[in-house]
Amino acid sequence: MGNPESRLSRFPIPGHALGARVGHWFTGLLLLYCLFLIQTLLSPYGPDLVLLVLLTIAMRESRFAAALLGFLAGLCLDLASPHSAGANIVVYAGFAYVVALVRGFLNPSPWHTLIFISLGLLLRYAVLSIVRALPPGSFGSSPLTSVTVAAGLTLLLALPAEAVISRTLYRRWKSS
Amino acid sequence: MGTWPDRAAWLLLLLGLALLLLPQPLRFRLTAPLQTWVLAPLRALTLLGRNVARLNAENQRLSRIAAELAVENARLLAVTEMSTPAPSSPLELVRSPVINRDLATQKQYLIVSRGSRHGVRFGAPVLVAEGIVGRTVSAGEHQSLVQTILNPDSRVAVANTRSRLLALARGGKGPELVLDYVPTQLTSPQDTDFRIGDTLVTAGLGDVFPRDLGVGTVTGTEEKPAALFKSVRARPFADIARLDQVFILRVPDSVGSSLEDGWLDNLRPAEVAMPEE
Repeated sequence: MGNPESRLSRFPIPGHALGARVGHWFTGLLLLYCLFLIQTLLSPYGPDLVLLVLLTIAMRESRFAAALLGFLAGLCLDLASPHSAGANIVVYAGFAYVVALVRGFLNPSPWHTLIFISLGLLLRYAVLSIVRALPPGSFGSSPLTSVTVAAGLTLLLALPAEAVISRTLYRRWKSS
Repeated sequence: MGTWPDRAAWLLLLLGLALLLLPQPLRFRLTAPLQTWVLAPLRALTLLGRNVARLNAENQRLSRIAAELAVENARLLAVTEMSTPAPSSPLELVRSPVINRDLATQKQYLIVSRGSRHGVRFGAPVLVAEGIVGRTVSAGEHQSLVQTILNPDSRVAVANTRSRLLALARGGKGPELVLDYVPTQLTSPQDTDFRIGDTLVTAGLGDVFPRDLGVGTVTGTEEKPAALFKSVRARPFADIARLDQVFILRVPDSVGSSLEDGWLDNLRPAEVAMPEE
């Protein structure tokens, strides 16, 4: 994960580089899993934390790594709602792959973050509504209310969350 | 898109699509084993939450039972001494959560969220399973003010269970009671003294507390030479500083007709008065 040359130069002994890589992957997976649990607890009105993490990772990692993490994140969410199993996998893996694919053509900018998040949310709710798996509203409210609240919170948290996750995983405050 | 990472990424996407297109029963069968492991922390949290709620409810139920048993125990003790038959007790305890305390000491006054609407009256005894807490000095519709026994203005007639000596307990400076009018050894017979470790119960004098409800335990005595009375300190059984709920004894309106065993005799309306000195 990350720029292999810059990372390897910090580790003259080859084993250390492998250990650092494994540790980095483990941290990323652990962060993804914890945020998945929090997102499930806060559902249906909570922000899409998994999407925020995937965006940060996809802006830095390879297409395969991004797609793999998207697949695992989508799988966890599908296990929480098995009647729509597969939908979240398609959404998150596809989203992460596309972001990793196009990021090379863009200069890093907060607007790109917001646009990507908006497109990711649109894709997710479109696919979920097609398979009729939109999260139901609570306390008598309609699914549209919960979707609007969740999407609003996700966009609100997009930039600060990207900074924090970037710092946690890559020790940098923004994407380079 | 010809490199192996891209093909692998597309393969993952196709896997997801294939899972989505599978019939639902097959989807459930495939995901069920993974579901147990992935969702285990969430299930544990939910179970923990339910257990905490269940234990809280059980705790409240047992606290109420303990307080009722304490009251019934006191009543039966009095009945045993009088050698009269023990009819069933219609007394009711009103569980009252503590919602506020006095800011200065946190121990002298409590506000509880039960009032006249729940049958609480002015001057009602307030207690917990361990012992008495105080009495209500004001009762609104939904809330009541409780003056605890640690309040310097509070006065409770107590009796030593060992020597049957009587004294008047009031709130002291700290978290202890001070007993007044305790005669010194010079003026009282032997073995009728207060000793450290003696248990104090309500004497059943006055019009607030019935007899034999737990008050506290003697923690120290201070004898002044040539004095008629000495100072006795006691620690209340009830941990007033940490109470989050109390029980208010709802005494029936017609005390005399409801109970024949004499335990609440001191709570009847006064018919005679002490002669003025």
